[in-house]
Amino acid sequence: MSHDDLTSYLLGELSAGDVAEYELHLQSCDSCQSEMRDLAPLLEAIAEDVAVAPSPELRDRVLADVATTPQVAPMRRPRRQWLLGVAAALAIVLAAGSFLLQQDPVSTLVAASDAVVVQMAATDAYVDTAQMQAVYRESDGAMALIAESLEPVEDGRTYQAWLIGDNGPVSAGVFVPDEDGTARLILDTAWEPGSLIGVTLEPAGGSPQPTSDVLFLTGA
Amino acid sequence: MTYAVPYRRPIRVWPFSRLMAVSRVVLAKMSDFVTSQPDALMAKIALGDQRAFAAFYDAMSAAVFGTVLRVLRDRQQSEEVTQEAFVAMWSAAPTWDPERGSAATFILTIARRRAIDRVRSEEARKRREETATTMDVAPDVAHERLESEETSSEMRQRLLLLPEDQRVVIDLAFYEGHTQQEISDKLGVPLGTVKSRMSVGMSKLRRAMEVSA
Ligand SMILES: [Zn+2]
Repeated sequence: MSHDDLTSYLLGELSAGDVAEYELHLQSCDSCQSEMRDLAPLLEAIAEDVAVAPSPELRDRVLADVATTPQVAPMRRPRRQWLLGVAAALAIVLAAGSFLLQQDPVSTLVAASDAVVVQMAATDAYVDTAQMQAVYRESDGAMALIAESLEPVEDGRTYQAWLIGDNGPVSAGVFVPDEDGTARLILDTAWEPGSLIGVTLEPAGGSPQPTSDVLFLTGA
Repeated sequence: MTYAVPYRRPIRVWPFSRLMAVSRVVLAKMSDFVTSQPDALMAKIALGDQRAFAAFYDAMSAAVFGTVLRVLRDRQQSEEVTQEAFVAMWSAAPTWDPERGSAATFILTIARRRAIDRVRSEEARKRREETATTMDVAPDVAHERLESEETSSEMRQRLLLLPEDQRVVIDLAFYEGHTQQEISDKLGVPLGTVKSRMSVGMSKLRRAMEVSA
């Protein structure tokens, strides 16, 4: 499967096996990824153009089905190369039987069998590109944040993470990236299903409530 | 004689306190705001949120049903496939990866794939029946007339600006619901040519959307 299969993929013409194979290609192919991102609004616009409302009964049937249909387990995905890097480094540490592992609670959390990775995206308020992911453990909700290529902060400022639930944002910890723009920390707040995680820029020490625009957000 | 005075837009300076107040409101509303976008909804659906799923269904069902209807041309079957597709999406939501495409692309490709599978198995069934009975059944399913309403849509207008060969493949695929293989057979051009016309045409249409946006 290669670039040539992009239109077949978008048009739903690939068999299940070929879909899986193409998605594997997609994961490592920047050119297909950017074309996919680029074409998404067109696909949506054409679909809107041919849109026809189904009967209202269909909604009831679908929602009833969904209420009794289990979801597949989330992939424990070290999805990006750099997180793969973390996992690989971790494997080496494990193989070496190093005690270092115990000193890095973030690696321990990422390696947990019930760890779930949540991708975070930069909003328009963040000027550069950076990688950020939150990881939480399903058993107890323990959360970590991992960031790379993050912009440095000025003196007297700090990044602050927020858990945004139905009652608004609750501080989940402050952090400053190192010289490489890397940040790894265990968050202060436990994960709650249905919440979002956001990151803002705050005065050193953090704020009780966010004072800047949201720079990173889950599902943004 | 008058001279045009160059007009400079005044830069609006907001007091910091006002900015803070606004961004607080924005953030407080943030969870409501982002839930209106399919991608943000999908992030919640992936965590088992049925309310988010209902909102996603409401936002996407007409687009999905319409897409499927183009392929199957039968309301009853199209509703069945739409239902299958949404339930499959729910089930697979935890594996959805925003880097592989938008949530809307995700459901639309699932739905189209299932519609095409349905056509293929339907055709296979018919072939079996025909050879079994040798009865000359006109295989004409009541084709709904779908083309007339959209002649004036913005997208149709943009489509008209494409070179003929690209316009035709896009029209046949998206508006007539054909696969690229079918288009290749219909036009008598190689599949690879259909794919490249499709790809070039789609990216031109995409650029045209940007211009008119
Ligand atoms: Zn590729």
